[in-house]
Amino acid sequence: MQRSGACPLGIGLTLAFCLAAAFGPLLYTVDPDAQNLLMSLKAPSQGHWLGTDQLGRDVLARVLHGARYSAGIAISVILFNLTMGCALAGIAMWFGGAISTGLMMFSDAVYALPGLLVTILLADVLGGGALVIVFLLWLVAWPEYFRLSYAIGAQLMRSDHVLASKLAGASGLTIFRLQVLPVMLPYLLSLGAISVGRIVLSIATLGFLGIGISPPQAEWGMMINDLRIYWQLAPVQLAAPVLAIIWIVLALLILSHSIPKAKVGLG
Amino acid sequence: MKRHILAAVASGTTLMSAAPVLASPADDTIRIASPWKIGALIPSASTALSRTGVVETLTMPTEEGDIVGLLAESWTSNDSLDEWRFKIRSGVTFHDGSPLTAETVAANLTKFREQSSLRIAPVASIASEGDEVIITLERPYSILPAILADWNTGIISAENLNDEPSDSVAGTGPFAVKDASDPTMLKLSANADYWGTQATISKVEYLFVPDAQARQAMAQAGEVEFAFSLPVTATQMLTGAENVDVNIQAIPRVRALKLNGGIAPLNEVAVRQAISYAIDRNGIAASIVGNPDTAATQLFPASLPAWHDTDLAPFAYDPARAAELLAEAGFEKGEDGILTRNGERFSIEMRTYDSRPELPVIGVAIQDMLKVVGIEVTMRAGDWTLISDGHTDGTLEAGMVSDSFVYVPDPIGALAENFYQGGGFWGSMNWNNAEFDALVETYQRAVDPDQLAQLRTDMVGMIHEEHPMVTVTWYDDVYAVSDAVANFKFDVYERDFGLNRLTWAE
Amino acid sequence: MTLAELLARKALLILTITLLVATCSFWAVHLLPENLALQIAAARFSGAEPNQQLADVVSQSYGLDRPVIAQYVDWLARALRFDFGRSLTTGREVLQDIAHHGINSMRTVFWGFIAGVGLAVPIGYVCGRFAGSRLDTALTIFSAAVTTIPSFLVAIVMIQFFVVELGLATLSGTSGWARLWVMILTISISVSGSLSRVIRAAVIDVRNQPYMQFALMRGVPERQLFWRHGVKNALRPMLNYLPVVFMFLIYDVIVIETVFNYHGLGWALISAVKALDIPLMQGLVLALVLFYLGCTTLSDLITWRVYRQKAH
Repeated sequence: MQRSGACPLGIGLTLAFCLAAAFGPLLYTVDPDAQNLLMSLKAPSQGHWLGTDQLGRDVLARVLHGARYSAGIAISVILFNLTMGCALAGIAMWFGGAISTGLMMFSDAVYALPGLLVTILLADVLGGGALVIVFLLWLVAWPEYFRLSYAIGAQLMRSDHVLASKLAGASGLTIFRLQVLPVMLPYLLSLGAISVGRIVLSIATLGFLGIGISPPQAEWGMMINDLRIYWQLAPVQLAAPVLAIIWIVLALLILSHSIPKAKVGLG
Repeated sequence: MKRHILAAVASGTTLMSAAPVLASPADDTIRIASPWKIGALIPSASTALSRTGVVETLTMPTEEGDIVGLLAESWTSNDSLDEWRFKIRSGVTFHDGSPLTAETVAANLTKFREQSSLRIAPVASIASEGDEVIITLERPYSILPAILADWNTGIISAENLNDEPSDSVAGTGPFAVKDASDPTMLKLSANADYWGTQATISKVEYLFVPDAQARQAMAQAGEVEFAFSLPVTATQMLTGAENVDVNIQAIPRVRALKLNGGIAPLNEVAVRQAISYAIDRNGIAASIVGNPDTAATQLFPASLPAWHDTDLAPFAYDPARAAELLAEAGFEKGEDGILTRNGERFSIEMRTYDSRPELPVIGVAIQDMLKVVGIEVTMRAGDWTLISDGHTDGTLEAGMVSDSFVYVPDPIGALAENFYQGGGFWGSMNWNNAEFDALVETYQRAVDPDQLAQLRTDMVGMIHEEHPMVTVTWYDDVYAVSDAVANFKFDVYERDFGLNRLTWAE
Repeated sequence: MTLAELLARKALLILTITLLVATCSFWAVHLLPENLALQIAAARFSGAEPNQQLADVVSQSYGLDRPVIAQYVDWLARALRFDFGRSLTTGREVLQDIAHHGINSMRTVFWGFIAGVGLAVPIGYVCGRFAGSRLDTALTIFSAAVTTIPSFLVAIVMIQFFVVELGLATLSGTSGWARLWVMILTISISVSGSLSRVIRAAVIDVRNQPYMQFALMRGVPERQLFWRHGVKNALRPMLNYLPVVFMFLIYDVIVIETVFNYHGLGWALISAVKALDIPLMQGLVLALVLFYLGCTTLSDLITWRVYRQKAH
């Protein structure tokens, strides 16, 4: 239905977000953590385009830095997942047998686990911080990538040209680099695009629950939780992080719908 | 196919049918939304039991602060103030029907001695004799009756004095526990055999609602008759709401930055003074607390005139002076703006809790103020047990806390609890000052008014100078009360809501 | 696959996951900087100043002075028997608290699921039946919006609107429809978003099948045709998608219960995390994981029951 207009729209929204996350804090140079207690919960003005929060901090600056934080975590998690998924799938396929079965079972078990629960259980103990969040989100999400790479890889390994290369004595790494990776990568990237939105929502949920992310980090979920009690007094300030979340998740949703889906036979 | 779905839905329906409909205000019930969890049903662990009038203490303060009898009819002491006899009120029964005897009272005080305020008194023995409880002390101790007014010294029936966690508890108060099976709700009903003023409202529901936004919404929607500890913006948010009043009540309570005086560099007086100089109390009071008058100038507010020393120089906000003190202590600013000394960064973890919703906000404000002078603070927000557990096991570095001065109606109780010999949960930590401890002990046996006044000045002055705990603001409590209730009076001692005096408004 | 095979496979999965979560729980606690014995001592003797001596006693009686591996094995054995000890805050058996909160959560989850499916099926069917129409576009935008907005936001808006402004619902009490309906609505909205998309795709797929097209051309009324042959085929993707729906349900339980102050498992979990009530936290996480696995097993059994003829 919206195929025609959707793709440019999705790309546009995502691009605008990436630009805001990358260059926003450079252009709008207000310090997101700078307090001015005498200016708390002030409406938007020349100096503070989106007003100030309960500690007189600039909301626009915090939204922009929050974008950078969420985007940074999401991209690191996905990079980790891509490498980990490929590497493990490679190991499973090359060695086969017990190692392959064991990895499959382990990934099945992790895959069947509600990730947020594990994150909540461990985030509190590990003490929070961006690296811990990356680690935890990676910990619960890698099986998806592993399974997809394994499924595609297994099919490729049976194909004639890989068998031919094997007979010709090519090393495992060479086969992987030249014949498996180029086919696998587009599928993995498309999965990555879909899961960015999910990761952003997870980060916001953790921030909202106050688990794993601690002040003064500018983070959307935490901003919403801090400001929701003042919603009548500071509607703009509350709306800003809300709209930011909706923006990026919607953009990625439209984008992922317009990316051609992986074929069922391979998925 | 359809049949299967129908069958599944039908069986599910019977299984999951929602139980009784919500009670309407017409059912003669007072509902209280409280940020304080109910916890184990023992008086020393649960403020709810005392505040709702389930358990009672031996003594109580009047509004003027005089100590009068509650479960104790009268008391006498020997001349050397180290033996006290409390005559127990006769004709009082517990909710389980058993009579209140001196023996039960003595058993209660003995069992909960270490868990209640009695631990700060130098108790030698607790015994009963006829209708009297006899408490002997290791040294003269003038404030014992005030100690026994603290909510955590409530008396429960002998049946409940075992170690098994129980689903119910029997006190002597105007309300009896009807249902405590839900760990987040306490259902009470009026005690028809109460010895004092009978309650006119027959039922009470005490609800544990940890989220301030939810408490505010519940008050606004008229679902609860009382909502306590609201953020100060509730006054503006609830102006439109009919049938509910938001009140602000100044209470003798403080918000302070608790510091672990046992770890470097917080064990240095100059460093603690620097922290005090770095905090903009006026800013915090004006914008977060919403009342500039609450900015603390010393430990005790002017509402406690005996303890408020007008001669003391008020706390000052002077980041430059703070930086100077830290430089003198040997700290140098590193490249990231954080102080270091001998290769160690000045970085501390501050814990805080949100049952008092402004505490985390003040915590973040202080985090930024300390960063200005080069102290890095990481925050950890949770439940108040983070503070008490951290104090107990020694892992706490700093904590944003709040405590009342008058749980024991004489502020010496709070001083002894919070600053004496290494401190307490809501006061100093590992601050050992023999001179101060001696003053406290002297005060507890002194009777001469002039000497007492001098001792007060000395103790307050010492805390003012050394900052074992950095006082930030005094306290305004914000609460909402429904128009439907009459005769409510806020208890500044925070020990009893006075629910038995309430009536429905005409 | 026979029923026995399916059950055996599921049982193995559940056992693996239980061990996995129990292991995480155990090491999470033993990584904690706080001194566990002192913490237990503080909780047991609430308010008393526990000293090292007291901690040593507790240490011995809880077996905390034994080698870590021995403790670990012991912990696994107890976790498999659901013995988590006592909550540090309420002093009650963890299992008792789980049962109490579990019943509350079951109510909302059950009705939220029913309502969510009830919302998603008509939306998905209408979208699929009239794919490309304006109605389809409008409903698509609705479900896209629902999947985009985090559920805690929906909950906040619902509270402000239905509880505070209109007074049609309440935030207190644990049962009663006045309490439950807004929560159920919130959960069902968040569940229906993606589920309706799956159903839409399934309906479109079924309608494009050659046998449907052929029958339609022969003039068989579509409604009759769909009920007789289409439903079963269209239902399959939905059943396969159910585990994802249950995953959302678990997340909703945590977030929505917290915002609504509804005393279920999720609310209790967040409270326990904030109070560092470790035994309760471990018990609740395992209970929620098992609840989720129970739901997926149930949906697998239904799928197996409905489609087993095909397998032969």
